[in-house]
Amino acid sequence: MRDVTAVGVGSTRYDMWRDKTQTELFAEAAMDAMKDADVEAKEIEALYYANCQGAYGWTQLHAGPIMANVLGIGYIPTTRMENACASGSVAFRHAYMAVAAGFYDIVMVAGSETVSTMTTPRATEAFAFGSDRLYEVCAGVTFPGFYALIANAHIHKYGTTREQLAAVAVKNHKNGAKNPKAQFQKEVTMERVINSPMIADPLRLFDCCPFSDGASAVILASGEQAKRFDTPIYIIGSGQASDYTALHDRKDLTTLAAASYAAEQAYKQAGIGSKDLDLAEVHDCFTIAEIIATEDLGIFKRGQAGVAVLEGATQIDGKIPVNSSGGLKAKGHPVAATGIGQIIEIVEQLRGESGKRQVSIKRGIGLAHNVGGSGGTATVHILKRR
Amino acid sequence: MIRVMVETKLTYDKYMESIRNNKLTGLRCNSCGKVITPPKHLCPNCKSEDLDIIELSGKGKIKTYTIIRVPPPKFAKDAPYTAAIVELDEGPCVTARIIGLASDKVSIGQRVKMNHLEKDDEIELVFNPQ
Repeated sequence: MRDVTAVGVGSTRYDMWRDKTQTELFAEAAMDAMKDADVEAKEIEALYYANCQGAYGWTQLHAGPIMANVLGIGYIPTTRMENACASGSVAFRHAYMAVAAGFYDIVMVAGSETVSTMTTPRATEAFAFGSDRLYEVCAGVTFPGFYALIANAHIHKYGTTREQLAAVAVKNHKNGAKNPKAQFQKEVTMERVINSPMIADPLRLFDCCPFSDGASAVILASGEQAKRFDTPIYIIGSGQASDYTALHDRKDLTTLAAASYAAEQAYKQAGIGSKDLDLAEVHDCFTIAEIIATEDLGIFKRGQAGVAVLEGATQIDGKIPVNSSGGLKAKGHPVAATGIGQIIEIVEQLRGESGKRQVSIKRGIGLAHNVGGSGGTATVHILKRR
Repeated sequence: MIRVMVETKLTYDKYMESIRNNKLTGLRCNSCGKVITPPKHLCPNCKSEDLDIIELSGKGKIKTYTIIRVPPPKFAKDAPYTAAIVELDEGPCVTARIIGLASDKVSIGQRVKMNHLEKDDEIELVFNPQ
């Protein structure tokens, strides 16, 4: 396997972009990444394009060629990837593998999403498409509902508290307020989170990430190409695993086993452990998801992540900053762009370009954790500045 | 080598048809004895294909639950309602709504028994308090 580096990153602000199409958002992120890398369109050999809701919300399939064509490179191979909310990182992994295997030297991986094409009831329905339609969605369980089932199991087993869940939202909004690309650049108080409307008990409105539109793109280059770029960031670990889509088929509802398996693969490949990380971006689609993610990644012991977040261990200046970008909660969650956006936050932090939300970089290592649905898919990527 | 036609033993349609008759069906693995439902093609425990259709008691307890207050369009008129993962007495779990129990009275560990709702020829597995 060859070395693979991220040499250019680009992103739109995540927001409800009712006046922009899925293609326009893609083009903005893609051109931003090309400018960042100083790579011309004609140098890109393949496009890995992530999109989740386009077939339902925007009624467009076969979007890969459409995206490549806006860059004037419609002849290159394109592949559209869909693994629910993990679509972006799964596309990233396949782009990474293609460069590592020697098929290509320079590729683009990008995700774009326009959820605002749907009404809230239609989007509520569409977000449950990532779960098992025959045997669990049929019970009227929504996407927040699945994480609420997980949350109640975690509370029952470990005594996770209302304040611990709220502390995740408060921290991530605090970080989002420092991120010019975030959907919510506003802090919230614990009282506001705890008193927000109930969505699916015990999860309230401020325990949930928003609906978002947006796009993110990364240019990957082989290690041999890396010397022509300013600060290449190396991908040193990539893991992906699956689990039963239906929650009821899983052994333990207080963990996402796919995330643990993906983390194990990525740590092993990178030759590091959770103690070596300078920061982590994790999939906080709901507050409980961040707590479980940091346990699955081995950053905290089972049942201890809630305590740690309340004590401030995951703040930007804490022992291990988690979701310095604001996470899905405040930065936003444009489904298929999300996993790529997480990797961009790690790249920018390792480069030292994160401004007011810059974390202290000691070992030059960061991790991105992305989940599809309620844990049917999970990926973990580890990046390093050499 | 003679190849035997692969055929799904307990199809989704058969499973739902049994629920219409207020019976919960599943599979028993003849290799390790594990009881399986909803239907699967291989035993999740030992991966054996040697499975027989069985009828389950339809009784179990709530493993975890939530109260859905912002419903999908199909359930718009029913909200708020309780949805739960029920651990059946034979071992496997299913996801279903809990009907006939006030949402503030639901708790983990509570005993429930299967039932079904029929609307516009569509069948929904539900559970009632036992």
